Amino acid sequence: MITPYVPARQVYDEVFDAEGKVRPHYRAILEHFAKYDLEKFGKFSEGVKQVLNNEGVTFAVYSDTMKATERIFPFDLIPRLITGKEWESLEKGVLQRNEAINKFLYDLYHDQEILKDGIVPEKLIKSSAHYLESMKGFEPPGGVYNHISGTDIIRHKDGEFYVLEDNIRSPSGVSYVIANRRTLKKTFPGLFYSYKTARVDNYSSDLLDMLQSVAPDPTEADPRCVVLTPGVYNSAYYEHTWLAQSMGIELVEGRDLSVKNGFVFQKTINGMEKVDVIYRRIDDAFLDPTAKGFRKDSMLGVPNLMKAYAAGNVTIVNAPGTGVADDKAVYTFMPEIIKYYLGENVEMNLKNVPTYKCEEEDDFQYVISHLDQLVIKPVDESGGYGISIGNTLSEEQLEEVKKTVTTNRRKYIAQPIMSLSMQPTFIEDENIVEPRYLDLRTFCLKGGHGFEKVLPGGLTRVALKKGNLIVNSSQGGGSKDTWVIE
Amino acid sequence: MLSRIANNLYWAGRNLERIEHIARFVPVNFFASLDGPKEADEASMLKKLNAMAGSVSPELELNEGDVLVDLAFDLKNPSSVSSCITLARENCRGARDLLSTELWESVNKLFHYTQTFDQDLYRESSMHEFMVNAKQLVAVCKYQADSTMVKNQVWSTLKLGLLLERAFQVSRIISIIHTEMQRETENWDLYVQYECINLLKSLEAFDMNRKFYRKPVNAERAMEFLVFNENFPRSMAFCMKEVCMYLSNLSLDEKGKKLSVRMHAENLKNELVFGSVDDFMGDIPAYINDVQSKIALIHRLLNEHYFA
Repeated sequence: MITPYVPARQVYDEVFDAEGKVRPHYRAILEHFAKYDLEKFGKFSEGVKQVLNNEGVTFAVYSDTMKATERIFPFDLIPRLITGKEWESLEKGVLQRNEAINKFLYDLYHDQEILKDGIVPEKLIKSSAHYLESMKGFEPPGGVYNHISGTDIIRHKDGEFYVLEDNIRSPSGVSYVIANRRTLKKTFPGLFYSYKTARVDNYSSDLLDMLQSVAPDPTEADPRCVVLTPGVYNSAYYEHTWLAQSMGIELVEGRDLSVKNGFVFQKTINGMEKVDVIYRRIDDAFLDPTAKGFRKDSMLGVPNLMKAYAAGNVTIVNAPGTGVADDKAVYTFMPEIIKYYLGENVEMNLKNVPTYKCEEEDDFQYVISHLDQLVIKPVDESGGYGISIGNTLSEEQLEEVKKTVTTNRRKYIAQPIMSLSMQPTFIEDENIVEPRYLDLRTFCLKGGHGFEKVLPGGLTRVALKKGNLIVNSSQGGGSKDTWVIE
Repeated sequence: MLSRIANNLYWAGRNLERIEHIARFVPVNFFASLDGPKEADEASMLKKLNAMAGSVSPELELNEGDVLVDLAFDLKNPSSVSSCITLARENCRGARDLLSTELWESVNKLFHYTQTFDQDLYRESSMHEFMVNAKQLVAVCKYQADSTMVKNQVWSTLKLGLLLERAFQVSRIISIIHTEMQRETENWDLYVQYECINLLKSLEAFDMNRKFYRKPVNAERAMEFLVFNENFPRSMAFCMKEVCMYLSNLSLDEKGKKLSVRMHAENLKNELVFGSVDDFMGDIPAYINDVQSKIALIHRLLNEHYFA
């Protein structure tokens, strides 16, 4: 069913090496799928869609009638493997990165040493829409800001893993990891016989442990944790229900909660109950319509929630204001940030995409002569403003960029345009198996008393359209089950 | 349990129960009319079906094809099978984290079954298949609720909705068929017996009614069975007994006797359990009206004081 091929040059293929030979750890997978032809495989794939549909693992799009159009998040049945050795360093890298980010956030909301030392430009932070003045001087329970982080990782043509993006506001997708594994096991149990694959279904109990570890009152034996959702019409609602259900805690909406005497309560049929930890799946701006700088028109939040938070009576997960550290522009400083907080000699376990700083002469010369192969970004603009992607620009535009960069070298940095790795993927419409681009989102938990865990593997997202590099579900992306194997 | 969630569960129960009644009522009354007595003409049958589907179409313009299709699939009519299941599923989605996976999947399966059913096939030949399957899928949902959920507040609220709705639907079905019985006709006895059989079959009470009385079906025995027999699961007395039990499981009513939803429920239960068919047969519409307004009061108290 999966015909060997020689991967395109400039691309790393997860299954076949540069000569088209199967990588050893994929051999048993290929042998297993050799038992099926495309027609039979297509039927399995169709059956899986039915199962996911019945389970309600769907996105909903609503129209004005009561009829909702529901789509499942496409799931490719050919799993993506990560060897134990690869995972060991990935895991270390993810933990290291999130440790540094947490220290960075603490610093930003306290003494701002890193800004004073000129490592990260102050303007970059202060111009960020996610920087929250009200968080200054606040001590988050357990000392944690980024309780749950989603780190997006790609494998470049050199076969190495690189971080593409940090997501430390409300990273989503973990429910699909669990659904994918459950579904693949049911569909092709035989696939698992030849491997020792790491479990993923512990995630929800780890998550609950983490949430309880950051409860505001450490003497509370059984802190009440809740998941806060925008509601049933949110496209990630399936995930919100899964999170609450699998942890056995309550899924609440803003209108279920209220603040009284500085504490947060939920309204039940038997009266009010105190809430200790809120795992919120709504953005900072919507948390509290009464808080300064937040959306006054928010119907999703809870009036005076930030006051209760500031009083230390409730924990919000992730902490408000973490978004300042997952900005694309902050990302380019990550190697410096890690060194700054974890020690000058620390070994970077997970690479950042290399960054050329135009203010340095060697880098500048390289940038000027390779403009068409680079992404040019201003250092101190947040939110993706002023970015030029070299290979999309005309000659004139390139000249323009060259002039801008030369006149203001301090302001610009450049990064190579990265390639994603590929893997054979079943394409339903054409009934073929072809290589497609993919990435990986890992999920990392960070709690009180040194609690930290990374979900083995994560969510492999795959771009189903040929040649497409964008793997997001909104752009027609799908996902694969991701195995960490011994 | 959150008030909002309780509201969702309560309505999930009510909507789920509604599907079953319409899915029973429609085929029974439709097929009986095909070879029924001459009084039971198409117009009379369509009038019943239309009433069961919430009387959304004007009575004079009823035509068979449209009535049958609309009561199954019309999403603009909140009483159609499709609407009830869509609503029930939305209610369950809103309380998804508290339901067992098995219950949720059975509700979801029912939803997909009704949403994807071929309407042309339905119109042509498959109304019976559609209704029977819908009814059976509802039965699976109820089975999953009873066998995979902890018998706590969540479950009790769902069941409260189911049983209160059942009491209400039984009263509606009696009232719809009783209205039809009032027609002037020469063969009155035969016609009434025909409608009484429809009434019992609409509630799957026909076999048990005959076993219980060991006599042929007549109006008095049919009504007595469906209103007062506290041991038959589709009688109003039985439903209200259960409603009282679920209300007591929920330990509501800490807010003072004035609002006592339990008191109203217990009173209605007592009327039904200790009442007799003589109270009923004198003025059936008045009796049914009274019961329905008491059910509505219980519903209103729950909504205003606990579920909002």
